[in-house]
Amino acid sequence: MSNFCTTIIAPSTPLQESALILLRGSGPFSGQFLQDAFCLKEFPKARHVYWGKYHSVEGEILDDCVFTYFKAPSSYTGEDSFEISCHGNPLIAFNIVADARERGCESAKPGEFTQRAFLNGKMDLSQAEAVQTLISAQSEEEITSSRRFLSGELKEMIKGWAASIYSLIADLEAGLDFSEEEIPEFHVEQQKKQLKQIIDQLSGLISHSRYLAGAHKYLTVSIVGAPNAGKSSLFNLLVGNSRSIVAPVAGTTRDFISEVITIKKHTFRLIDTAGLHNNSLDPIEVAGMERTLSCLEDSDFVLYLIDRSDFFPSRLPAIEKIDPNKTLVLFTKSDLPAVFNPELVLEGFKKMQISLKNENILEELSGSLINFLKENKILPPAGTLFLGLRQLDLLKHVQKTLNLLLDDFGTVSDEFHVEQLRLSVNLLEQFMGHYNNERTLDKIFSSFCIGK
Amino acid sequence: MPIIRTSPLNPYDVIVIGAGHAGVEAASAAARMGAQTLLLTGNLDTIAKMSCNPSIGGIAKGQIVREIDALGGEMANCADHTAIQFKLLNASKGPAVQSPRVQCDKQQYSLRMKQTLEHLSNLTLFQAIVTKLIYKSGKVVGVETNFNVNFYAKTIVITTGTFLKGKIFIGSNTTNGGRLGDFNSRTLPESFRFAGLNVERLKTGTPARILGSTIDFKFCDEQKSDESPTFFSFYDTRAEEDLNLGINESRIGWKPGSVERSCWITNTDFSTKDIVNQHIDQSPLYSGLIYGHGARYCPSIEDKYVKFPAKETHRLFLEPEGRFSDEWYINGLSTSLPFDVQREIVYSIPALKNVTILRPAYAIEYDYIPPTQTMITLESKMIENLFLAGQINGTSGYEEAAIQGLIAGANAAAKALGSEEIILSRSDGYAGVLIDDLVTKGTQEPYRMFTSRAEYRLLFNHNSAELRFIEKIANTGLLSDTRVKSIRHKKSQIEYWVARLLKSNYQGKHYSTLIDETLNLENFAAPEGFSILSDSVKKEILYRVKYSGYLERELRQVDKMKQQTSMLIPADINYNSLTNISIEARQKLISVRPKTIAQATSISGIRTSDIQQLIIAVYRLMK
Repeated sequence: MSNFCTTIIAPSTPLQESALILLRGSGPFSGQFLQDAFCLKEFPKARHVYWGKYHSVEGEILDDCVFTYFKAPSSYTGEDSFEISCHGNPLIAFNIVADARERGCESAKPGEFTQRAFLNGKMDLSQAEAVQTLISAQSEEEITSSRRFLSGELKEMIKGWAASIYSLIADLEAGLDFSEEEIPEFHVEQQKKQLKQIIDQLSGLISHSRYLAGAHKYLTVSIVGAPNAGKSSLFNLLVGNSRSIVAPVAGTTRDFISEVITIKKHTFRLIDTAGLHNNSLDPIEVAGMERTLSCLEDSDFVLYLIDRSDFFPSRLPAIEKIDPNKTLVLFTKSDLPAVFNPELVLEGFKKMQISLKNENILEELSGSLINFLKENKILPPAGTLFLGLRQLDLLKHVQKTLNLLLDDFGTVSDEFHVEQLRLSVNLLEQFMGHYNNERTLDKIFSSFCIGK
Repeated sequence: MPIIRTSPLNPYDVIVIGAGHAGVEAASAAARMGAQTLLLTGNLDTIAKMSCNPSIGGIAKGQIVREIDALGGEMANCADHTAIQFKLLNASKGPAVQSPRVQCDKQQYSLRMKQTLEHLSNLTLFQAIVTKLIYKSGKVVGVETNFNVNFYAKTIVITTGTFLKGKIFIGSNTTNGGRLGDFNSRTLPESFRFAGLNVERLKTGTPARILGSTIDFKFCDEQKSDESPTFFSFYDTRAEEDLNLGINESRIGWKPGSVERSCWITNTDFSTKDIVNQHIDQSPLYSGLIYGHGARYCPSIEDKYVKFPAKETHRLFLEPEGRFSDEWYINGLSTSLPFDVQREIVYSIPALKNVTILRPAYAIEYDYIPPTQTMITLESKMIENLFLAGQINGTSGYEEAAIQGLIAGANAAAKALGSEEIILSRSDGYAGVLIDDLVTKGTQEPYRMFTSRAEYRLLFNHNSAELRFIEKIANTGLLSDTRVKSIRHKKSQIEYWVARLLKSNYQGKHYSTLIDETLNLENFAAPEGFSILSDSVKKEILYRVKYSGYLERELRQVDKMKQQTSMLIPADINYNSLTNISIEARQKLISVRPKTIAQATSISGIRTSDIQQLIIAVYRLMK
């Protein structure tokens, strides 16, 4: 159980050899801890950057560090907190954390800083979740989306729907609680329209939303084709020029080479497969082909390579297993003369002619690839919102509740409709607060002249 | 009636101050529970007086009256027996929002209630004005009266309505009084202030009364009584002696449903608006003479025209005040304008052009004790043994007052007798919602009940009131043993049939689809044995079967709410770190250190929003 008497500490950057490793801490003991560990003459000033030597409890100097103290509530968590930058050796960071624990700090659990920020009122739930999203974001779109949450844009949208639902509730409640008063007649059709509008907007958001992919779950792209079509060259080109290798992928079960690459700020797992043959009798080659075919099925996207200078339209290996919607056909070796005109074959496929010798090939290929992925919605289109599971579930639950309500609308007494609407608002406000029946009454009294 | 006791050595169990709608229920509930009770009133002739409109019940209020009956109170029975019109409001809507209402004979109601009290054992009535409370070591122990006679009690219930510093406004004319023609109390509020209670002001108003024979009914539409009356009292479980208290002859009132009188609907005229606008500066509400807040749902005619200027005319209801008198009430025309303007307004209305005005309209401003200073038992948080009910808690309406009086009286008796307190929750009924709203949220205007205030409204259909409270009050003495038995029998009958119908089919169809929306008994192909049940039992069964999906979801939410309020707060919780809880609330939490969320809720000055934040924090800490 975490509680707020404790001061927590954890590395905020990956523990790997690098220029710097950043350690972060939060809790009431923060200032005292810095003063003790860095042997300061006085209590550290907030938001001042200090340089100092970290002394262990035994008096041994562990590292030269730069550190900053933040005073509550002006910090990320809303508590007293600190940041220490030490040299980028994981061992040093490990020693400092171990020593801090000797001094009474506790290791932070995953998400604990954000949790404290939430519980201390520094952010609402949707913002707290957005931080998690931001950290595990896999692409620039996801990062932009998270920033939209952080700035509360989703909250504003939800507020808008909640306000519409409250207003619908107020109209229905006015008819229930003040049926003897001169309440204007509301037309069921008009109310349905109002309801439908909310549902449409909500559905729009949901259809533009995706579950946030969990960490290290990337889109899989397979390179397939006949032997000698240029698969490995393409693989090496994409891997070699990939600017950041996010993480090595542990133990693929297939005998394929695979790497995690980024193309235009999107992260993929790229797989180089065994060559596809038309008629092979070699048992090893047959087994390899079977694995390739099964890899094809599991891939989110396929680059199907054809040697432009050496192919026959009737003998394209495994072409019947290729789905045009998730395949980009690449005619390689475009610098060599073609046997058949590629434009006349493989109708319905998106095709591109390339030569790996072309020096702009990477740029061209990357652009076409990303465009294709977006057009076919394999990559989310721009403006997509990435939601946590809970958030998306909540919105879908609201959508379902309102849809059920719309089906029934006008067929049962209004108090049953109000139940569904209250539930919807409750769900929406789990992002912010709770259903408030005072708000309904405020709305009624400001809208209608009530009172005998 | 027992002999009067004035010695501090022989205190009453309960003294109730004020015999309005709250006071009579408080006194009778305490007496029924076996507490030696004294009811003090400034005037024995105005017991349970209907100071404003001549009706009892209405939307949400009607459900409350049935709850009063379910809790053994008197209002329902008295209203049924003195009613001159019965109406079920929202009859075309679902059972949860259907609300019975009656027009009563005001004088007969008052007289019958007095007679009821006169025949109650353990209860003493006495006419005296309480001038001061007597305190001893932080507790209230007795009262001083205007006769210089003191009375002592273990617990005291204050139900003084609008009489505390009541000030009546008719234009710039002001008089002191708790009601037109009555006295007020200037010293009693000082007793509360002396003990440290915060006292504030509220405002309400009442329209003019007119002579029925001078109304021109051709400008009105008739609103007739229902053909078959809906009674407030549960006559299927109330035994005869329970209703009549041994008064077999010369019982005041008449057989319920036996008298029908109509109300009439009319409208103000276009010219009414001009008159109001011309004289608006003469209204004490707008000239700043009245400080207290008025209720938004009960605006004066000047409020209506000012706040909704686009509306040219307003609807009025003309309601007879009794069977023997021809005094009528103009519902919708309350005002605090000077009498000559009132007259102009009344005469501008076509139906009232030549009417004789019998009493002027007036506004009244009075002291109340903001109810966040009160516990869920209606005992003051600050002064032990002091219970508060009715308008002093900032409510409006006879029904709201009566149910509070009943609960305050019962809890005062329970405390005096050393028995268990009665706490109704938001999931029990409107009584629980009302008290919970008052003590947790407080109120800025006279508080009236609406069905939309109840989260679990679908469970609060008026017909189920008895079934909802029975287990909480079975052993309190509020109900006779016979009645407890018959309610339990009724409840098990209903539960048996609901379960049976939900499980079975008829010609391949589920029963919930066989019951039509009006819960019509005639069209329902019932299994054998169903037909012999009483109509009210049948209706309850059909409602529960037809809407089982909705009702079950509501019950699940109740469970969730109960889980939350019984949630334990970790003993080592650091409140100072919970910065989204207000500083005031944090300080109180630190000093009280409540064990459960429910306890935290009962601390004064802790708002609902603080509680919600606390629930989130505790939930997160537990994880």
